[in-house]
Amino acid sequence: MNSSYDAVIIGSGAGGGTVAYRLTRAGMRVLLLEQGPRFNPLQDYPLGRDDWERWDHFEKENPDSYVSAVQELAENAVPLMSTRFGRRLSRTNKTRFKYARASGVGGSTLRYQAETHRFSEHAFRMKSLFGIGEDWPITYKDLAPFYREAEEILGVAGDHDNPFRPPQEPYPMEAHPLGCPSRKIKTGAAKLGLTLHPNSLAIPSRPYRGRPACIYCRGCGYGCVIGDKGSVDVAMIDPAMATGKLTIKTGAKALQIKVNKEGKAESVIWKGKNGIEKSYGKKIIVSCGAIETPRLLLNSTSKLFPDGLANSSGKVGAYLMTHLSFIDVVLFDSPLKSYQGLPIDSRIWDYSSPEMTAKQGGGFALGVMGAPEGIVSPSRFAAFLAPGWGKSHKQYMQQYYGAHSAIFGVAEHIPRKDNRVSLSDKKDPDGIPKAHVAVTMHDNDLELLKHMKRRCHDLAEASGTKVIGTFSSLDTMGSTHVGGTTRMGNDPQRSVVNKFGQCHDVRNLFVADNSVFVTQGGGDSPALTIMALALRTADHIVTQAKKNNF
Amino acid sequence: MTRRFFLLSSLGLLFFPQKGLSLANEEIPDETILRSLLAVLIPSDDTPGAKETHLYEKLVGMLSTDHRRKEIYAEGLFMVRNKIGPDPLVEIDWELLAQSISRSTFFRFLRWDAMRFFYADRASWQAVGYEGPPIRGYKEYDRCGS
Repeated sequence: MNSSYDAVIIGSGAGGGTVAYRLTRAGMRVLLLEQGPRFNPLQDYPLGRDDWERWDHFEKENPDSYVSAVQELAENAVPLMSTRFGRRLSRTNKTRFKYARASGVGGSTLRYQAETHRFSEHAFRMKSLFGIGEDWPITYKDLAPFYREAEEILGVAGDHDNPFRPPQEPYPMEAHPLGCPSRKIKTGAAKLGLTLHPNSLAIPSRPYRGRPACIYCRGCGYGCVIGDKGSVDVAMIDPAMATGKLTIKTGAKALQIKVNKEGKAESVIWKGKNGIEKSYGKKIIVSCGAIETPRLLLNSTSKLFPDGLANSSGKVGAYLMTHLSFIDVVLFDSPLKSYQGLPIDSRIWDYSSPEMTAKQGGGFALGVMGAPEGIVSPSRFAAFLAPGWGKSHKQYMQQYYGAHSAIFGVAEHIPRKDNRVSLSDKKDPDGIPKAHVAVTMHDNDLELLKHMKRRCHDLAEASGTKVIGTFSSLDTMGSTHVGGTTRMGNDPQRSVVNKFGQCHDVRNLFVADNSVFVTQGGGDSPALTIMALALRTADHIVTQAKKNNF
Repeated sequence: MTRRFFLLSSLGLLFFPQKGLSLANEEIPDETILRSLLAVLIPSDDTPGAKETHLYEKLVGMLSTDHRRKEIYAEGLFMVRNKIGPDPLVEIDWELLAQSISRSTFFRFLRWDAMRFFYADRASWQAVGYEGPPIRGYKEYDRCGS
């Protein structure tokens, strides 16, 4: 069955869901294709079960979609690998990138910790200020109004009085009170001359736009059961549905984008419950994330675009960035309710500018996670973190369950041409080439990891905690934070989309996700920037459409 | 049906490593081995242990659907019998036995399963100060005491 819309959006996460929100409210008829399901939080999220942390309902890593190149690490990287009680977790010196995300209406915001950070002003001018990466074709000022609007839609609570963040008006809500681990670590940070700030979070502290107030269940990463968290399904998709202009197809996997003889994007071929279908759109917006978006474009070849759609520059897939992270799992002397509250309630931004990390380049931010993700419940703590067994294990549980926390660093990943997504010779069950993801850790990345490790250890010690484990993105952590594979720019030879996310080669084709990022910010979480850019892209689409009377 | 066959079947553990190989100390039922090791892993004292939370029954339930685990457990039980030796009258020090197999894949799985089942049981929560699954929320999360 064929169908025609004002716009077809592929992917319903932070980018696609936000574009759908804006376009439908402007009166456009929109089809939203989502590969995953629409979750029913009360039924599908297991947070009421006694064994709730056992379930992985979001299918975080999909081995059907990509293969990842293996890197043999040099000896100087080994000390940066993950440990438990001083012993390495991995038995090899090999590493490969793991892409962790959620598949479903709302995309990875279903499991994000609701961190909503604006990128710093300098993040948009890294090349001219520090000689790192590339400058964006827009400045912070261009994006500021869209940041503000996204914060209002989401209902962000935060502390605007922070000299390490761009100047801004107060958030829609005041910051949440810090949890017990953050209060302790704040004291440790002060000893080191660092300032711990409440995090800015899309988690309302009071009822907001039809959503209830947070109940502090620490469950954001497992799916928000009561629907207070500002994930895209509730904050963007529900209002878009209310317009009557949005059609959502779930279980709909986009296979290819077709172009007409004039080189305009014409339709999307997708596979759904009833087989192969084709949907036409006057505008087509790709929002599949920085791995799947280039994969779809590279798989959409035609006579006019033999190297992939919108790829005359050869830059589709290039400059892949992830986030580098290092986590210290720490123990306090006694329980601090670390499994309660908000997942990441505080951050330390002192190192978020490259000026603060000297030769390493790029910046990073420190943070406090409460009980580490994946080790929140007593059953996971007992199995993974508490040592030994028998009577001593029971005593350890009684003394330390709820006393475990995490101090982490998240660092900028410098964009490099050779870190990229290309097409693999391996195919998925539908015969579509998988993405081949090549991310190599360079010396600069290792230096940043080393720097973060030192700072995390210093903070752990100053806070009176004991480090019992480490997780390093080098070998264990899958990253959801990816970007850069259809970067934006003014020069069609060096970028894939323009400053509005519009493809240089195909004017009615847009990218609205983290693929358009030019840099990743100094440890900032990307969701808010994806949404702000998506609102800007959507406004451009509406303006264009109005000129043509839709 | 032999006694051994029956026991392995009831556990869902009937698996090729036992067939035709040494049946060391076959008098000791699988159930006894597993219950004894579970009691070492999570002993009962003034708070509940493996016994009170019916960990053995939970393990058997899991093994009836998890075939990969079933193989690991079957191999582990075979290894344990070999450790014990052929004398049916020998008194077994289960603590010592657990130490001796602690680096084996079987023991690691057994420990992991025991811990995750035990601490997902409400009977274990009071002792560790756990207030229960997230769904009810923890509105006093920021009351940290002194």
